[in-house]
Amino acid sequence: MGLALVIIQGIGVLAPVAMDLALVIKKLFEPHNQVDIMPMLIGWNTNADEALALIAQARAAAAPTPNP
Amino acid sequence: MKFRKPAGLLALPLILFLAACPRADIGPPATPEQHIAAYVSAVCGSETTKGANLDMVRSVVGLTALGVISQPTELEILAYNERVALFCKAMPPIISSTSPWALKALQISGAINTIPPPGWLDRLLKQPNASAQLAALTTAAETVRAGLKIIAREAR
Repeated sequence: MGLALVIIQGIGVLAPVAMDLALVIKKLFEPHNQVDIMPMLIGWNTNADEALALIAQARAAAAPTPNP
Repeated sequence: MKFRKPAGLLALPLILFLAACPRADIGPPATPEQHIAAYVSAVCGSETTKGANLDMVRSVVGLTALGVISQPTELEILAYNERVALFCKAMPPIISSTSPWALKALQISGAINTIPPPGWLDRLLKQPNASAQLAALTTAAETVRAGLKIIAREAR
């Protein structure tokens, strides 16, 4: 009974320590100053599409109207 | 069976945590891709900002409607903006690819080389009595020009 309690207590102490350790090790091996560029990539495409649509409209407006 | 040094056991993760903290700081972008991405965002915009190229297109359209810019000049500027927009569309697959940096740099330089130099910009800057109206356009154009110049330099 006593041994079982000690084992349970031991797991209770060691489990959070092991989790902390795992997180710290993960952090240590992560590349530094990681900047998530994926949202930026989406923005580039969206804004480029908007610009291209506006350019097409402006060109259509600038095109000379054909004589009847 | 007893834990004789519980303090030591608790101190270990604390020391490791403190050692890892400075490394987790978010600072300036570190990889060439991240560095270039920051400048491409200034030109093309991010998810929250519109970017200098789109600002330019809007200004050009508005200034032509007001008669500040002639139609031939408008078409000349829009052709430039179109190349910049196509450059913006070309960047995501290049930057997010797993190719080596040397290859990505070549592709980025190649994409920039398709953009003609903004010869019209100096002409607009010299235009008398219109500086206030043209300010938004020329500022955005300068941002695009400077951004592309930096990206080209970084990709060398």
